[in-house]
Amino acid sequence: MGYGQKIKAASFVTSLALLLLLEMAFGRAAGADWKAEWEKTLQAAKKEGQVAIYFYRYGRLLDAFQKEYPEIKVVSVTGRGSQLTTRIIAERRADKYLADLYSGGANGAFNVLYKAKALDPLKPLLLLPEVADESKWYGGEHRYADPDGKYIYAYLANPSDAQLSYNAKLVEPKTFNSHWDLLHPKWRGKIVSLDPRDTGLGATMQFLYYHPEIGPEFIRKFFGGMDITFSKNFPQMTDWLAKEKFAICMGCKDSQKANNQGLPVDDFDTGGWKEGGSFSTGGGSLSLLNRAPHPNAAKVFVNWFLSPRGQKALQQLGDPHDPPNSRRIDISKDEVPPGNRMIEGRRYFDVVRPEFADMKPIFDLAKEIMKANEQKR
Amino acid sequence: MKMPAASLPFPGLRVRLRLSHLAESFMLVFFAVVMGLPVLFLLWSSLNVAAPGKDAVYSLANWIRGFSDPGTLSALWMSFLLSVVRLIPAMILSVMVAWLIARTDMPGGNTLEFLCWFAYFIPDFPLVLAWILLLDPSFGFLNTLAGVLPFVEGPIFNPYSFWGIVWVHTSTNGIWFKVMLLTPVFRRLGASLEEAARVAGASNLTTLRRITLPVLAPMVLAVAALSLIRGLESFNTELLLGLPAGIYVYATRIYDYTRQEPPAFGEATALGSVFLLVLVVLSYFYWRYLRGKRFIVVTGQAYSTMRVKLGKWRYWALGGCLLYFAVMMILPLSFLLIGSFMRRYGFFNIASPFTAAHWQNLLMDPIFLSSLKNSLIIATATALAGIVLYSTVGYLVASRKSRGAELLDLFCWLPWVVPGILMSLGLLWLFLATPLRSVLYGSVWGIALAMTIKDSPVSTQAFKAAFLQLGPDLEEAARVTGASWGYTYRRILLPLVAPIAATVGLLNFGSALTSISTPVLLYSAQSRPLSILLMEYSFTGELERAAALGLLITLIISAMVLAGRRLGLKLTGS
Repeated sequence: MGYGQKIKAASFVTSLALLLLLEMAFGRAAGADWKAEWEKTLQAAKKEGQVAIYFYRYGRLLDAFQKEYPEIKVVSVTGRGSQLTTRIIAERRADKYLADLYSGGANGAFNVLYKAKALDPLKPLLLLPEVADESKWYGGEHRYADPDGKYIYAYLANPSDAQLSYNAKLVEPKTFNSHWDLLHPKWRGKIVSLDPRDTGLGATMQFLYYHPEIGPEFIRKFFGGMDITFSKNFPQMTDWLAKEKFAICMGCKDSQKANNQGLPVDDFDTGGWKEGGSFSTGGGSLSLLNRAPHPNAAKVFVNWFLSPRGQKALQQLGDPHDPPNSRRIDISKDEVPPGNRMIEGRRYFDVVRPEFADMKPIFDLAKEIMKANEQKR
Repeated sequence: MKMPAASLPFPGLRVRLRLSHLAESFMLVFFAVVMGLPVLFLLWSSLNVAAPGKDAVYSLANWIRGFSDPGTLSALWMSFLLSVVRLIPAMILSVMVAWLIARTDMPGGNTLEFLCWFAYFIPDFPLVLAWILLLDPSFGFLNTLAGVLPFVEGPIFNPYSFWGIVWVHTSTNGIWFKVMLLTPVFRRLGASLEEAARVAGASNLTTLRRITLPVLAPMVLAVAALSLIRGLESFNTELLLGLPAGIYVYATRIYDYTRQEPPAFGEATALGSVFLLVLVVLSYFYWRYLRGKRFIVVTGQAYSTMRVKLGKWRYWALGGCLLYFAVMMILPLSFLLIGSFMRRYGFFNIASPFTAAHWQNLLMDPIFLSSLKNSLIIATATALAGIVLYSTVGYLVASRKSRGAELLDLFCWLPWVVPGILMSLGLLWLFLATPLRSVLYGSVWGIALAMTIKDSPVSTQAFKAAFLQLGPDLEEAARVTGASWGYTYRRILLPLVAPIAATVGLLNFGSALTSISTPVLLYSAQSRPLSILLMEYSFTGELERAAALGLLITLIISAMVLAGRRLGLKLTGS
């Protein structure tokens, strides 16, 4: 080794050592930073004493948070997404800022709270490393449902199977390879569906409308041309499907429950169809209200809820009848039924993407179709 | 001309006039705030077309959009048609049943009255599902039974039709409510007029038609008006049975607007204003009919409550009533009871179809216990507040012939002409706007106040009709003997209207336990009542647990009805 080479080697080793030292110093400092901030937040949250959460559907997991943080009282308001957003807006009209967090459907959060500028960014609240680390989440990213990418955090990834179910005695599911197969004349008058103007088909309608291989033309032909019977009550539809009154159902949300009870009802595996499957966040988005009365307690809750512990509690306690699938990929999915799990290598259409958030053209189309249906009758 | 106190025939009269004037003014202000303001908020807000949270922009766009929909008028027509078609036979039947229970010697009258109470509070949602299981053309139990007969081809019943809706309504809301309100009034009717008619040779039916009914006109008309408005507002049955057959009613149109995202409350309010118009028209006719007539049936003179003797017809009458109850109530109720023990409501052919799990899960659910406690507080407060408040209002409306009293009467109708969810929204705004927000918003007391307000039409009309039947000689006799107005009210008037007070209290208690639309925007997790828990179960598809909870609520109300009837009878000294 010549002198020059020795010098180069020595400088390389020195640089490496220096880098290592720097990394250790800054890394510790960063670690110390988040720990110190977390400690500070925790103390402030305990002083605030409570957190007000407007929670749709999965409210039962709040007990787990309460056990872990008994000093922060959870004041929750439960109800349908539209009821909760209505209450939040009404409170604000009266100049009352009572809610800290809203957890519910991304559509309600976007169409009401985001558009009303009632939200603060949630992103800066993600403090704990296991929460902030995007590699621990599906697709290696935090998914936000708003165009700014920081307000409406989607924490669920539920494959929806386009909410299509069938009666096993009347339908051979293998004969279906595409959504367009549903338009075959032999199914005319044999389909029951939730009213597409209702929010119950929300994510499915987004999938059908925005999917480049399906789109508004399919919606028009399906809801307007197949002599569909409509209902606003999904258990009633599942009963009809099980009793062979209809062959196919769109929106039979308890089809898997019926299947487990031994009824000849099952979901189409639309993920294997030509257009692929879809997944949505269902009622699983989290947002921080602006002028939140307990900002520190809200921060503690957000970090607990999005941590592996919180998301596990969500899967285990959120809905015992239909455990949802967290977008976290570093927790076990034992309690999540196969139908709610994502299958590796399958093509999925993510309806939570901000460019698909606008429901107005979808509802306008649905109203137009249903009006024409009413006039036909 | 003002009269000096000394020149008044009775010295206490001026104090009484002042007191009642003061009470009337206070009530007017109170009801203007709690009933008028929410409606004004709603009407004003329906003109605001700006998106939520944006600066207000006012226009008639919501109203134009609501009424320009071609389906709106046909839905309104369908609602009227359905309401009137089911109202006429139901009213005739209700009057007959109430008369049989209260005015004749038909055996088992008290039990029948109790059954009406029981039937009224069975939640209608699972009951409609029970009728579907019985009548569905593809799998209905009765159609399957009928199919065995040699001369029957195809299904003979179809609940998804106009007449199907009328039939199911007759079962869920048919005569129960009307009999509950009419029976106490029939009971208070002195028998002297009927006896005179019979002496003059009139038959029982002629006496009922020509004497009893005209005398009881205030209550009969009030019950008919209340039923018509309730019929127009009804949407649960129409939602389950009408939509599959393409039958749309007005109330489902309003419901659709409130379910949109974001909810279109402006359009919903615009459509809801039609109920206000119906109310004004009905009130006008009601007032015109009653103007200048007297309906006094309870006086200080000889008072006999002797019952009409039906002879051998008494058992036929009982048989007819029992048959009606068996078909309209026992049949669907049995399905409801069985349903609460089924793994899946209505499915007998699955493996091990019966289970007690829904009852176990319900009773062990910690939310159930806290909801039960909340519900009992809300229902008790609503019942007591209803009696105190509306007995005063009823008295003022019946005894004072002033513009204020007429206005008060009109205010008390408002909560029923505004659809429940909209009234809930109006009250939410009201509660938030007052300094009492921390006491009322999200608390059991706020819900109790909302329920008390919501029950005002039936409570006011019931008390008003009862007070209209009391002769002025009772009060005058008390005053002549030196009794104060308070003493007269407490010792003379109140015992005479005690059966109505008990009815109103129990009715309010029951509706506070079962109402969903009124508390839906006002409850919090800490004040969640049982009815909201029932809604949550139905919403998540747990119909079997919802059926169990529905039955439990009905049992609680039935126990209260039994206790309340004893108290009512004790108060009247019967």
